[in-house]
This record gives sequence, C-alpha cells and structure tokens, in this order.
Amino acid sequence: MMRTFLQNRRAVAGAVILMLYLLMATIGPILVPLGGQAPEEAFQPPSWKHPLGTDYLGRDVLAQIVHGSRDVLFVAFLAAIFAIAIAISVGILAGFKGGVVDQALMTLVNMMLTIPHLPVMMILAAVFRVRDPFSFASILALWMWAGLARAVRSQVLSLRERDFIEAAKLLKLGSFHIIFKEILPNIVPYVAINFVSMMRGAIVSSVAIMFLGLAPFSATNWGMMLNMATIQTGAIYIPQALPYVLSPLLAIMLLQLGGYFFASGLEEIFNPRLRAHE
Amino acid sequence: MNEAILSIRDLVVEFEVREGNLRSVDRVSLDVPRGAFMGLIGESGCGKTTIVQAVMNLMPENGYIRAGEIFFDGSDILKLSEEELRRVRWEKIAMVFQAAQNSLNPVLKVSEHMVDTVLAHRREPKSRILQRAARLLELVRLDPGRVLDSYPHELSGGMKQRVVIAMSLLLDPELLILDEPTTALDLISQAYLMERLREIHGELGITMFMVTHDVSNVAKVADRVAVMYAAKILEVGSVEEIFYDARHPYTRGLINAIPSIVGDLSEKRPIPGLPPSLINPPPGCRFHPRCPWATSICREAEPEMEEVAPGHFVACHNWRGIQGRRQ
Amino acid sequence: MMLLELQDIHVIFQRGWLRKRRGAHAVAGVSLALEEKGILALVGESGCGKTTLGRVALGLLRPTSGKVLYEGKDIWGRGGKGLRPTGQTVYQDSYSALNPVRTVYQTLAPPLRRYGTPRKRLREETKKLLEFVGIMPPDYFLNKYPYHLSGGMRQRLVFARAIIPKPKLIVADEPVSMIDASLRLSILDLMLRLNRELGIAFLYITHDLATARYFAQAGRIAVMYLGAIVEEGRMEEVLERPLHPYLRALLSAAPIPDPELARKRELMPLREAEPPSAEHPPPGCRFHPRCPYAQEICAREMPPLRDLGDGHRVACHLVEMLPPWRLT
Repeated sequence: MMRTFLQNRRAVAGAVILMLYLLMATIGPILVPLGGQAPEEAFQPPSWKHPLGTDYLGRDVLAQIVHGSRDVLFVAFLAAIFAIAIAISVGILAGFKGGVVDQALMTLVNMMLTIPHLPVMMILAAVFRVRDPFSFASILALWMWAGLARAVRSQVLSLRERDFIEAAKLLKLGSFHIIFKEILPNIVPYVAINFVSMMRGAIVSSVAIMFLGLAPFSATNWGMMLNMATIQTGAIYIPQALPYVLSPLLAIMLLQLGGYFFASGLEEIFNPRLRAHE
Repeated sequence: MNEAILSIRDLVVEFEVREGNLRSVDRVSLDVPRGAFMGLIGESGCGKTTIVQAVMNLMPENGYIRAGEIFFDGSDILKLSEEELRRVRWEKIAMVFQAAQNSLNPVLKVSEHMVDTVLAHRREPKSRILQRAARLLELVRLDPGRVLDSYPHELSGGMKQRVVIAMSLLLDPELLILDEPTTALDLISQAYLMERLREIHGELGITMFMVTHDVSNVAKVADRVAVMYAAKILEVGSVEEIFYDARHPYTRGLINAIPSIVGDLSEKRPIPGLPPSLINPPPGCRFHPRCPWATSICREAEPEMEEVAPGHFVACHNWRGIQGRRQ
Repeated sequence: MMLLELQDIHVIFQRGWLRKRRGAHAVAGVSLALEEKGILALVGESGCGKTTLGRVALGLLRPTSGKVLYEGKDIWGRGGKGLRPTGQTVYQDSYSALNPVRTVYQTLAPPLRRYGTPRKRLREETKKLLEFVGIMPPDYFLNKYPYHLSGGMRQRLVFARAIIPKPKLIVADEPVSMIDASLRLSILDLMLRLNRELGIAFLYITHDLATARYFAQAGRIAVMYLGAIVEEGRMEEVLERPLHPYLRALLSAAPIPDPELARKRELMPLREAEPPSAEHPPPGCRFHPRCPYAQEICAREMPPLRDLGDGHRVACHLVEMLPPWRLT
C-alpha cells in the first residue's frame, strides 16, 4: 500500500505540503518568536528582517502566520473529529436500526443539508461569543456532519445485506460485535479519506467567520489577520503592505491545495482496494 | 484432418498488474482445423479467455501481445492494420462473448440489432438483411415473427443467447468463436443451446471454436479438444482421445474429478493442491507440484509437445508411462 | 424424531408498501423432513425457491404459513419463539461470506470465544480448527485476509466458522459452484467428513445434479420446481427410477463427461423450451405447459405429493401411466 501511495505524485505532493504545515504549527512558534510591537515600523514591505513585511502595529507578518497556523489547524482538526464522531454515530444508528429511527434521523440530516451554513454559523458565533477553539470547533462541526452521515448510512445499509453479517447473526455474536467489529472496520477507510476533506471545509468556514471578526479569541489567527488587514486598518489601500494582506490568503490556499491533493491521492489508493473488497 | 483455418503459433500474452507481469498465455501453439468443432477447456485463470481476446485483438488496456503469430486463412492477423482487421472481424471470424445476452442494447429491437450489425460492415438492403435474419433465427429454433419485433428484456436468457448467435452468423463467417456460451443459463436451456450449436455446425459447415470451463458440455458437442493449464496447452486430440485415452496427468485428473449422474463414483477424486501463480510459475512442468507421476525431470525442464498418435499431442515427459483409460 | 421438519410451507413475498400486492409465491406447500445426521440434496434451477426454503429451514425467514419444527418444537410458535436452531449456512460466494477487513484469526476468534473457548486458548484452538478443515499450515494463514486466499480456501474457512457452535444442521447453498471443477470434490469431501465425524446433518442446495449425486449418494434427494417439490426419495432409487417428467428432462439435460454417452442422449423434448416466470406460475401442475405428457387434469389441479412406497414420492397425476424411462 505504501508503494502505491509513493507512486501517486499528487498524493505525495499533498502529503509533503501538509507535513510542512504541521511542522510549522508544532515547532514553528518555538523557532519564530512573535516579537513585540513597533508601531513606527508599520506596513513595512518585505525585507531580510521581516520576510513578509509588518502589520499595522509593526509586528512581523511571517511570525504571525507561523503562530496562526496552530490555531487554524487545531480548530479544523477538532471540528473534523467532532463532525466525524457525530456522522458515524448517526449513520450507523440510522443504517442499522432502520425503520422509524432511520426516517427521523434522515429527515434531520436533510434539514441540516438544506439550511445555509455560513449565515447560521455567523449568527451562532455572534450569539455564543466564541472564546476558545473547542466551542468554535463545535459550532463548525454542527454543520459538517450531515453529508458524511448520509454516506455512512448508505454504506451501512449495503454492508448489512452482506452474507458475513448474516453469518454473524447466525452465530449469535450480538449487535455490539456486529456494529463495532464487523461494520465499523469496513467504514474506516471511507471515513479516513473524508477526514482531510472535512478539515479543509472546516478551515474555509473558520477563516470566513474569523475574517468577519466573529471569533476574536486569537489575534494571530489568519482570519483575524485578514480582518485586521482589510476591515480594521485598511491595509489593502497601502501598496507596500500587499504582502501583509496576501500572506494569510496564500497560506490558506496552499494548505487547501495540499489537503486536496492528499485526499484525492488517498481516494485513488483506497478505491481499487475498496473495489477489491466488494 | 483438414488444414487449419486458424493457426496460433508461439503466442505470448502478458498483463501488467500491481504485483508484476502476469503471463497469461505462454508460448501457446494451437491449430483449429477447418470445419471442426473444437473445444478449449481449462479452469479459471488458465488463459483461455485471453487467447480468444488475442485472436480478435481485443485485449484490455493492460494486456500486451508480446510474441507469436495468429494465422487465419494464411495471413497473420496480428499484423493487420486496424482497417483490415475490421474486415476480418465479424465477416470472417465472428465471436459470441461470455454472457453476450447481456450485451444486447435494451432500447433496440432484435430486428434493429440485426440490421445495424450488417450495415456496420457492408451495404445491403434492409429487407434482405431481415430475410437472412429470419432464416438464421429459425436455424436456432426461434420464431422470427415473434422475436424480430421484441426488445431484449422480453426474451429469456436462453433466447437472448440464441439471438446473439444468430447475429454472429449474419455475415456468413468462416469461424465462430464462443466464449463460455452457457453462462447464466439453466440446465435445460444449456442442453438446448448445445444441441442448436451442433445443428448449426452440421448444417452450415462453419468451424466452431468453443472456450469453456465446462468439461462435460465439451464432451457432447466438440470433435477436437485442447486442454489448457497455467498459460500452457497441455494436450490436444480428438474428443475420444481426450476423454478415453488422455495422456497428460492433468487431463486424466480433471476428468476424474468431475462427478457425473451416471457411472461409478468411487473412482472420482479431486486434484490435490492449487493452480500455480502465473506471476511466479513453478519451474519445469507447471503441473508437477500436483502430479502423481512427477519425476525429477519434471521439476527441471518444461516438456515439449510430443505426438502420441496422429493428431494427438501431449506436453508431458512421462506420457508413455500412463496407460489409456479404455482398454 | 426428525431433526428438522417442514410442514406445508408457503412463502409469499409481498410487493409494494402501502398497497400490499401479492408478489411471488416462492414456496408453495412444501413438506420435507431431515433426520439427525442425515443428508438431503435439494435440487432445482434458479428461481425455484430452493434458496428461500433453505432460509426458512434455518429460521432466517418466517414462512407465510406452515410449520417449521426443529427437534419437534415449532420455532415460530408460542414458547418456541426465537428458538432459532443452531444451524449454520454456507454460501455460494465465499468472498461475500467473509468480512474483507478481518483476518482469518479475527474471523474465527469471536465465535470461538462466544461458544466457550477461554481467551488464552483462542490461538491454539483456531489453529486446530484450521487444520481440521484442511487450511494448512495454520500458522501461515492466521493473519491473512480473505482476498489472500483462494476460493477453495475461503470456502473451507467458512466451514470452519460454521462448525464452531457445534451445529446439528448446515444448509449449504451452492457451496461449490464458484469453485474450479477439479477442486469441487475436495470441498464436498470435507462436507462428507463433517457429516460423518461431527454428525452434522446437511441440506445441500444446488442446481447441479452431478454434485448432488456425489454428495448425497447415501442420502435423499428432493427435486423442486417453481416452489413445489415434484419428486423426492433416496438418491439411488430416484436416479434409478426417475418418475416426474421434469426430473427426467433435467436428467436428460445434465451434461455427462463421456462423449459416447453424451452423444447418445437427447434432451427430452419439451412443449416449451423456455423456463416460466416465477412471478406468474401456471395454474394446476406448474410444469404442465412444458410437459410432453400433459393432460387436461394437469392444467386444472395441482397434483399432491404421493408416496409410492419406499419413501419415493412424486407429484404427478399421470405417474402410473408414464412410459418407463432410463438415464442411458
């Protein structure tokens, strides 16, 4: 399996990018200190001292990007985990139990899917005063689990009909065993592929919310940076401060790209095997 | 024996798979005599379907014909251009694929299938095509009045299979190749189809080449049989020679492993062991790990085809020591 | 007392959700019995209801009407409710019968545990089980996944799993039809061993008369057509003296690996070559539209399954008047 992965150039490229970001998020802040404010050096263009220039308070932009990556990745990671946990639970419950439970849950899922996410998230974020990554991630997760839940449910439905499930029932192995030992392991590859996609979705949503200033719990957060740069301080009107404005954007874009390559690479790897497992 | 209408010489076909290079056909030589009803039998994975694909040059994406020649009517069809090959396909060599009944277009009536097939190859007035189609449908015991106007889903599996066979005969081919024609058919339909095939063979004098894993069906319809195992042809002979005087241990073992509704069951035995990997085949004779007659030479050298009797060939070092079954 | 008794089983599949329409009458009045350690081959073509009957026999499907008695107790009746026999089933497609993401060990260990093997003996018992069914060497296979195994090996694994609860009955539905011809007998021999050594009764469901004959040589055969049993009796007797026209047609159609014999035989001419639809079975005797001997009564009344002595039962109005018929 490793070999097929390494042969897929996109997957490898994606993995490399993600690894770099991960490094940046974990050891970056130690290597690149945040530095203090120096208002007289505001909106400096890129130089050796400040590779990406400075912001409105004279703080180094690169340092902020590095520190911000932690927040962004952490929130996205949490959101993805929460969303997946909910999706698996709902999907398995609906698929396995069937009947009224299934109908009810699917109605809920359909409702969730039709409600526009961003406006509602914005309202929730404003109302609940998001103060920390956990509550932020929870709100994000609330709107991310629905699609995956439906996919998990359909996988469970098709697995339920397989002979080996009937065999487990005939052997009287019990529902607990069937759900956790027979069905769940079959869903894991599918969910793993979706994990990265969920993170990407979370990043976009979180940055959007932070850009609008609705989750002000961290100043170095990329979304906050954009917020400060554009709305608060009008840096977009200052030509030499362009790197300051563009840096968070590029950071996000590159991260998303890496995630996309990695996820599609994963899918290519898992798919023939998923097909072989038919 | 007649001269060969189809002559395969030293054919080598490989597939590129994840684990490496899978040699599905390994230096196979085979002659199909003109006018014969020849059967090629072998179990799953032995390469028989690949041979059929190679003859029609319809290899899947990861399949490559590495070496060999396939002579039809004197010329090597592997060297033909795409245009020349199109003229050979269907007009000279027709083919009925496995589960062909499922390849009928569900939105076309049978008559439209027939007309389309002919018009793809030559110009002919529709009425004449339909006349011929009606005659061929009668040949396979289908009622043209009812069938020509039907859609595929209105016909049973057996009927569809016969429609496909009739279609294959539309352009008056010289050779008809059938790949597992009885798949997905119930027993009675299978027997019925086999009888129709023999009738067609008798009436039209067309050469038939049937590839199948069903050994018993071959006993009923074929006059010549070739046995394939692990990408190699092990034995070729008349149907009587193969069933009553087989000289290759695999052929003996195979026929002995098939239970029957008549006869003594106490002699029946499975062949021990498993078929070998085609990526890493065993050295020497491919069958030696499972062969009760294997000797040291079998592990070292691959046996060449030797003549047991005129028309009866076997690839085995020790065939002389193996007695015929019928005294 | 019989191990399993099916009494006048009817299975009608409902179609539609709001307006329940009558769907296929998959099983129409079948009564069968299987004694302890017995072997019964249930032979018929696809769509005849044999698979459905197999599921009814195991308690997986509740019949629309009729009784299923396991060791004398009605498994769907009061008091017997939920008394599913510890029967097991083996399927045609061994690949789908195994969880593709579970190793051989992970497939066998949970049932072993469930049926009493203590945790520390699990590995050892698994290996002994693998040896017993012929998966050798056991150490090599313990952590392999199903796709590593050949078809025959997988089927053996399915059998290994099936015998863990020490079942008295195994329903084998086309267990060898997806296995190479030269290896089929090895699986059938395994089944015979399980029958002999472990005393497991077998209901062998197949369309292949030849393997049925091999496996149930010393047992019984029941021939099914469109949901009804048309002939039943000891295998030797039934093949020696086949009575029902459908069975005769089947026997005439079954291929024989012997060119001389095969060419001498001709398919028994039937009035209609095409098999009928299971959804709209003909009235009266279900075989009458195709039967060369059919008379007027055959289109009117469904013939009962009558015992002609010696346990040889046939469902045909005209059985006494049929000309004698031999296989060869």
